[in-house]
Amino acid sequence: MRRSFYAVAFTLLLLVGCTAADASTDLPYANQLRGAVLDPPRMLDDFSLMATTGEPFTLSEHRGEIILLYFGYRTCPDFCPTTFATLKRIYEELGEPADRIKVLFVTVDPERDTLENLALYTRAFHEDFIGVRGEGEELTDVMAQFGVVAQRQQLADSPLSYLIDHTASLFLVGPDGRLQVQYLYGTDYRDIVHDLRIIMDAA
Amino acid sequence: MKYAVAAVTILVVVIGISAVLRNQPTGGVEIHLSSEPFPLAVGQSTLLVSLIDGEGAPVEGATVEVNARMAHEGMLPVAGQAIESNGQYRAFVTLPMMGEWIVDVIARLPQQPAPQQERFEVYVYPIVPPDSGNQTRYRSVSEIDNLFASRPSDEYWIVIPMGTQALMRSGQGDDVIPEEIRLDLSGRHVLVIRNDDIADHVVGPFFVRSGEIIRQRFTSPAEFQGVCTIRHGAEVSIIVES
Repeated sequence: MRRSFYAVAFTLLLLVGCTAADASTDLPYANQLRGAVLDPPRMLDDFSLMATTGEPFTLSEHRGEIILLYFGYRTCPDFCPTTFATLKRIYEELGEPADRIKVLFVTVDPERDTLENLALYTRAFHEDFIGVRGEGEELTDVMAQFGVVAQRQQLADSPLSYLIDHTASLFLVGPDGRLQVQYLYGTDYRDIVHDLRIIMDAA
Repeated sequence: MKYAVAAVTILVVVIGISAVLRNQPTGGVEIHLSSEPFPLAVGQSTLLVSLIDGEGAPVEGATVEVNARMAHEGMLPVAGQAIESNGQYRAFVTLPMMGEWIVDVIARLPQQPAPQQERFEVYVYPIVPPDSGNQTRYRSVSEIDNLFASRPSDEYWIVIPMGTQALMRSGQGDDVIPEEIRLDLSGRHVLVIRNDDIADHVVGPFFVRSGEIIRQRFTSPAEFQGVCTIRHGAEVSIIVES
């Protein structure tokens, strides 16, 4: 009899729990994530940019995979190398899951970042990491969807001639093709690994 | 059998608490307000009122009255009786000036002597914006108040009202948030930003599209400074202390 009480109570509470979860988001694991969770996850327009793999990277062709996007540039002195070192650590921690997670580096400096030198840059961190390059509206349209800004700062006495101030967040596009989580610069890699495991388990 | 009864009792209590947390108004009827055009603009408009019962069904046979006035003094109020049509109540109004308006909706329900009232603070645009973002209706003052009252104690909420971008661009309205937001890892350390505006907004490192909620749980001290589109100063600092 006691067992039936628990069974009924559990079922009822489960129903209430599901209702409460439905009221806030359609991601069942949203409350467990440690990044900045978007509710509802953001629908993204499809995009296709030339990649260091030699073929275009088209977002819609990667449904079922998790995409970690980072917008930066190859000669960035601080945020980009630090973030890529973090991404390398995350990737290795998860056992290099190339079939389930794609790391994508979108250059905001197409003027200087060719696909060839982007490939050298991304592969220096990990051979699975992919660099992509677009120009003009094809790039700015992608940036706008993520709220990414990039602004050139001229340098008077430097061989670099300019730096680019840019959004330094890491964006997680879920297996459903929607933007689910944003990680602010400096997020502990263990928090990102934690979230990725949850999302991979749920997929 | 008695265990099943006890379990059902628990369910009833839990659902009851849940209903309170979701701010069901007394009487079980929610008053929703939308408009044609949406959002409202100067000129002739139709205010669309829906009365929704506790089961989500529209309530018919009520008498609905709307009174609109500008948030500041000096303009004549606008009033109208709504006409019922297919479970929706439509009131035709002419709004003569752009800016912040207060719309009171008074509903007299069948077989309920006391009228039910809801207040909405809406922004009237000079012309109908080409894009209404992901918004379809206005949020009432009590809905916002209840949202803040029922939030968990560890959450810091920012709600960006509809019309914020227009107000900021015209140099009017108040800052939605202070210049500095301080969070505390041992207290309020979850930042929640909800964008009820028709425009997208930037709050420091967060880009929040119309209709989105972003929830960030901070686990370590941090400091962010950045652009802010919901302050006239256009900058904000978010400081997370241990």
